[in-house]
Amino acid sequence: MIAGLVKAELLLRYWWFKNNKSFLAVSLLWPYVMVVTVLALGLAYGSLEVYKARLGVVDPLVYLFSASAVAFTTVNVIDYTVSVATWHRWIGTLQYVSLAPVRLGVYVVVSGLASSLLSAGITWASVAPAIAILSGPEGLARFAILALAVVAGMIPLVAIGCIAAMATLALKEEGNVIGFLMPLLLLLSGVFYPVEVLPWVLRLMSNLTPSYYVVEASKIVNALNVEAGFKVYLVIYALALLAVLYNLLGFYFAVWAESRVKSRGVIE
Amino acid sequence: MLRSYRFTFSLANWGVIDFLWLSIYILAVLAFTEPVSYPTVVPLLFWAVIAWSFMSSPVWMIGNWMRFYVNEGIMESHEVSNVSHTLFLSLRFIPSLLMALASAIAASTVLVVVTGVNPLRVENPLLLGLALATLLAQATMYALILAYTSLYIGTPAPALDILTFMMFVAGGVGVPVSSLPEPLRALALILPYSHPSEVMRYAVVGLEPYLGLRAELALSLAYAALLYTLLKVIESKALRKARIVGVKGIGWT
Repeated sequence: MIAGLVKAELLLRYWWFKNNKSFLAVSLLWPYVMVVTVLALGLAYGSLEVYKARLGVVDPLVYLFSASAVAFTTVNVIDYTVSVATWHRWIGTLQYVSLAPVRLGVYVVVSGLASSLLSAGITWASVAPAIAILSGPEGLARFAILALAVVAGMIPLVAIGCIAAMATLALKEEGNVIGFLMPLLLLLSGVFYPVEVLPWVLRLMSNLTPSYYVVEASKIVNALNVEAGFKVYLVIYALALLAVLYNLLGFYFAVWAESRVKSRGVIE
Repeated sequence: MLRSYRFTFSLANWGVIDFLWLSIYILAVLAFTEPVSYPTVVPLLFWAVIAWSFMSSPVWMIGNWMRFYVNEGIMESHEVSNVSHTLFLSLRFIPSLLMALASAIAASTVLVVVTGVNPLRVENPLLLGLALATLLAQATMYALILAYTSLYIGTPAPALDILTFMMFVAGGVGVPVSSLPEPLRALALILPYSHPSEVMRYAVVGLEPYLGLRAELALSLAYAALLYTLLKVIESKALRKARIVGVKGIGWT
């Protein structure tokens, strides 16, 4: 049943992109827009040398492209997962989805994950030429390694997305009222700056944020050396721990929220 | 007010999102700068990002909303009640302005904590207010032009908006005109938003405007008048077409 759901979701997204070519073009351009904005402003008010020293990366341009791509694709899983619930409410199909044999929470997770993987593919296809030009085949190979970090980062994040989606249903408003989660996670990830500049409360929250570890993996891969190998293990352990923690939490919350939504009625 | 109350969570969410994005961009750019230059860079950067909020929000709030305005049938009901579409659409800048101001105050608090510099302490608050009001007026008219153009040709406004981002990065809004390379400097002077932005930088830290304060002020107002004229022409063409083919006959692509 889950394989069928994944296939249906991928087909839906495929046709959606095919029918919305302007959106596809924007998706392909988006990573460049982010990097160009940060670079243009950064170079106007400072220098690349300072940036390199602050972030401890070897090649700041390659880092900017790869880190922004991995962070955005990882965090996107939340946006896609939450928007599943709101979208069905808007188009009036939420009641049918909630009556389907598959549990609402499972559907939300599968749908969000499938859409995110497709979106990640598009972002990566967009960024890969820039990385190939800037650092050649070796840089491209390092970038490919990061794909594993992105998928590992998505596993705990999809649970957060599921919690947010169910909370959106419980809050009854028409919009995605948990939409601040994505920029919050980006802020805590330290994609474009070292998290050490954040106040201590936010630094503490960073350590509980899966995307922070994905960005750390980007920094490690950017400065690949012997010491980095040990750090990669630390990142993997941290992500695995967070995956267990958030998925347990997500499972119990989804079961509770689904029964609450069903007992109150999905149409109000 | 009733609508705002009904969407309390949505509005709060919107304000928080705005604040978070402002913080991400500001912290990213600060990573390029030495702490010794924070007293000058922090206020300039902070107000540049606020200017971005002022110029991009109307495009989303008005331009992007045009399709919803038509699809939901609001335009038709306003048409038969003789309500001004331009007035109705342009008033949508009010919630976006309130959210931008609230998120700016929150972002400035983060900046004070992170850098020790208060970006809200500016040299000439009145002139800053005038510069931002002109920028907002220009951006609102640009968004209305986009909305009516999208109505006229049946393409969603964001797909037509190719200038906002370019104007911020290379058009003298995010970066002072004097810091731009030569070909971009000439381009920035042709574009409307660079002039109120130069006035804004003068008001914030006393950075001399590229063409002088009086010339920049005059050009800011002249561009606002030009955009208003262009808006009236496009509004008339778009509404005439909508009345001939029917509002729902536009055929969005």
